[in-house]
Amino acid sequence: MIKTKKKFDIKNSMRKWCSVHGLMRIGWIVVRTIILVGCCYTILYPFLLKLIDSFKSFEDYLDPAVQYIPKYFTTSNIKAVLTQLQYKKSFPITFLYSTLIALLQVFICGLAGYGFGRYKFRGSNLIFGLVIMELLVPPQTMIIPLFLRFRFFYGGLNLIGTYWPIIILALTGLGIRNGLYIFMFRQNFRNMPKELEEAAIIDGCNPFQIFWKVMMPNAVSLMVTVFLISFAWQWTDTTYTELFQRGTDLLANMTAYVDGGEEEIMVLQYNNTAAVLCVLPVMLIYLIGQRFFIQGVERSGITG
Amino acid sequence: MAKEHSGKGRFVRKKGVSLSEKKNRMGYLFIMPVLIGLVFIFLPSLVKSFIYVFNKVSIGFGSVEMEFVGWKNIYDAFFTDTEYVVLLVSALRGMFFDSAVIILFSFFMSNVLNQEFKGRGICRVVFFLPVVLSMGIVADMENANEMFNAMNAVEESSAGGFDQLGMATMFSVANLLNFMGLPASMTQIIFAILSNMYGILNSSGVQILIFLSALQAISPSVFEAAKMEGATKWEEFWKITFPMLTPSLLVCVVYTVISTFTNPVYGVMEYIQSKGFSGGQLGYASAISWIYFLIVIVVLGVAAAIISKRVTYLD
Repeated sequence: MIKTKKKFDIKNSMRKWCSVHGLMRIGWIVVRTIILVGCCYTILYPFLLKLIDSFKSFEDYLDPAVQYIPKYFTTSNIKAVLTQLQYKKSFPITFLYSTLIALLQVFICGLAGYGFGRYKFRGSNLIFGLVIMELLVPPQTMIIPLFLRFRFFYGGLNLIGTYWPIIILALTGLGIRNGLYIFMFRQNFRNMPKELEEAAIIDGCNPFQIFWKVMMPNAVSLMVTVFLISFAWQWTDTTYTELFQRGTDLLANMTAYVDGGEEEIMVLQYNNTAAVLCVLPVMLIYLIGQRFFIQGVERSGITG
Repeated sequence: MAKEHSGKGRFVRKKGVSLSEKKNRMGYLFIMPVLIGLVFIFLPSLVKSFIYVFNKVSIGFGSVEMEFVGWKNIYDAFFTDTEYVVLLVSALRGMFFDSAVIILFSFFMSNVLNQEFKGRGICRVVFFLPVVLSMGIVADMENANEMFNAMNAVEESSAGGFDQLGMATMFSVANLLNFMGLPASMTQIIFAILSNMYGILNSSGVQILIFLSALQAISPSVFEAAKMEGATKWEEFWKITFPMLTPSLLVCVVYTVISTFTNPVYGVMEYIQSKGFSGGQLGYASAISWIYFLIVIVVLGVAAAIISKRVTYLD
């Protein structure tokens, strides 16, 4: 039976494909492929173009025959931008800082999400409403008081221009779109079976042990997802960074100092190269973690 | 006041606290960091920015100086400022159009990405790429490049290349559609969508993510049962998939409206920042951002009210 099934059966496949239903199916597959390829192309094209552009030399721009592939291949632009970005100094700092912030956000939001998803205490709905409110308030409304809060921190400390403001925001669950993470974690922990918790209680776990040893390991894919998103958003963030951390050595700050010289086309190209160099590490980390990312998406079960 | 209340409760009703209530109090410990953030940073900032609306604010030496001016800031926003209302109206128009397109598109794409086909994994990786990459630095650079290109386009309109070619074919497509008898307004809409495809794809990553996770959460046995009853694919979609997705539709609408509102493309955010920081008019900047915020709330309230009437929950 199995052998005949594997063999190409023309009668069966004729019946399968050469009917109105089959033709519609083929039509849909064609349309779907066109849409998907088109969309993927639209997403990837600008990035690939920027990547290629960063290898072009000035002569390539003068040469009308060069559209995509550079004739005078050069890495001098990249080297120049690397020194202008102070990559050797700014890359490790940005990497460590983004990792720290992302870890803090995963931990704090996971904690809060667990609290909201598993416990029904007095005022929990009200507090959760405030968390959602965090998402609703446009950053513009909050930016000025937040700036002043960190400009004159308790006791008149000036925290602007240091690494502290975003650490404090991450510690208190107020970082970039943390409301969304808390929401995702809450939804995730809500769907976990009660038996897990009961078994842990019988084994003598206290609530924090349950959280740390039972619940968190079961939410690994969501944790990786949130980590990736928050890492990337922290890495590429310019709003908070420009506001609170002017003068620090973060990559997002450094892009402002990239200078392409006199020629307009080179100014544009240096900017592009800087963007590529900033984003490339994030992209690599995303590609490494994407397996977890997509699993995490599938399991987070955000159903409103 | 809240502190007093809980303290009182602890002493008076110590015997009355049930075990589950006691257990549930642990929840406060879990959300403590967030609670501290809300009470000490979020709420004060929100209240403060509301107070700034009615004041003239300036940063003095070591402190913030305020001077009460009443409704002047709000009056100025609507009747004195020549730019703000124009920006606001164009942002509102763009927002309605963009959010509608983004939601429809991400709804459709999530259904496509949920089907089984070869290369689905790669497609998903590419589609979620904008979630990671489209914010911050990249968006800033793109805006800068667009400005630069717009400036240069006037100077050298004869330059060839991809964009020129793309535009030319687009125009001929629009002509063709017109010729076929489609009204001009329709072709304009199609044209607008197609020319903004990149922006739409970039801003619908999170929405596709939300819809897709909801799609995955529907148990296959529901579809099996429907098949046994003789439902067609079309009926399956409208009777099972769509109702099951309505809760996440609500989440998506909220998220889309917020993110399109704060999209730098419309320039309102930059305008507020320029007034507040380079212009030094902190009170005025607060006023215009609160007007913006209240409009978002009203829009969201209306949208949520309309949708939540149709939302179906399983339990």
